[in-house]
Amino acid sequence: MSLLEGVISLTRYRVTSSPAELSEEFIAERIKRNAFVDIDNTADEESIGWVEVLDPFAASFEPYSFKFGEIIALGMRVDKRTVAPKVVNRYLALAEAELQKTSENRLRSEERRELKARIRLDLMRRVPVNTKTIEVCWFLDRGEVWLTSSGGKDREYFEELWRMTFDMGLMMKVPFVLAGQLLPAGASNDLLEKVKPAALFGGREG
Amino acid sequence: MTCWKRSNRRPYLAEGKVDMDLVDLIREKRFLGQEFLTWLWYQCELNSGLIQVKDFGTVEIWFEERMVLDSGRENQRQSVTCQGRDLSLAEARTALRQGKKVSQARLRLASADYEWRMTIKAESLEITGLSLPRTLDPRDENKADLAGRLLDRVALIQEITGFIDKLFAQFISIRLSDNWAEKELAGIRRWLIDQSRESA
Repeated sequence: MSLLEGVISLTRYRVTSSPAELSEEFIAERIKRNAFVDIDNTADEESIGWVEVLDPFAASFEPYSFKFGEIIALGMRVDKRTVAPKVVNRYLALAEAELQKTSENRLRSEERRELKARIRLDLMRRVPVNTKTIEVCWFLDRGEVWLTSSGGKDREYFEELWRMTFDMGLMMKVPFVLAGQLLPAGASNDLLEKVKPAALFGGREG
Repeated sequence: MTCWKRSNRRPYLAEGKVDMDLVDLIREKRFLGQEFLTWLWYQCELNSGLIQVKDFGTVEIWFEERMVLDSGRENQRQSVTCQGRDLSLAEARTALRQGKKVSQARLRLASADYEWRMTIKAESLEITGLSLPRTLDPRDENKADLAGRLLDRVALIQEITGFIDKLFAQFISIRLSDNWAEKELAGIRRWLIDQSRESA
């Protein structure tokens, strides 16, 4: 948990739209509705949801364990399990060989597909999940959100979970967005939009 | 869960409706991040690493260990990675003189008794490898202490991101002013010429 110890990666967002009234009850209800659901005893491939920031194995959020003053702090837990196609094919070949012993007919393609799906499901049940938790901090007073990751895939998961949970717009604080927020007095967005790359060593722009 | 794909047409936005003009602007202005880091490097060399920032006072900044420079051109992107303890080394400057700009830099910042280390990616302003000053004992395990540690570390991150924002605001203010071409850009070019003479 990088917010609590160790080095941190950070992606910052600006909240671009929010409901007229952003109450604690609204936030709590939305978080609980999208809380993490365990897939340990299933054959599901993936589960993504909110957990408590101080305990990635808790998702009850009682009593409002996500609220730290003006900060909403959450863990986004991503549990995944995968079975390599090579492994599925190996078990499929073994099952087919077993069937050949009792029947001379080859499996029809549909039967083979069904058998493969059954084998994959069976293997999935036996594979332990990989768990990853990434923290999210939402600063209510200034409409800023942090994600403690800079990976593209993590960002995709987070942006989707955020949209599903709060249905609010987010914009990553990339140079143009941050510059727009920090324009000096008297400068207009128009000026920013017209700025062109500079050739730092003269000659052609690089 | 099905996620929408972050295609090339929708960078950095997580909204239902996407303003394509804004997306194009974001893409077009990515060079601002590169120019910011390059300008910061120049400022650090000019002021021996001591940078005056509004509301923060004087902060020491070092560019260290690792720097990536690239041409920034979408179609024919060429990059060079410079590693080593002394980044006044010729390699990175040569890349600058070839028209490349800093696209990733490892920084060390010190203010009062605190010190932060981080890598900033110019294109997105994402921060990686951020190490914070140690203020609490990491062995504190009970929940009350954990909450305290969380808030403590959040405050330290806020301090450093606030500082970076101020620096970026300072850069944008100069970049959009008439002084940019007349003074700052001329200064950067002089700095590069001086360095090339020194290394010759």
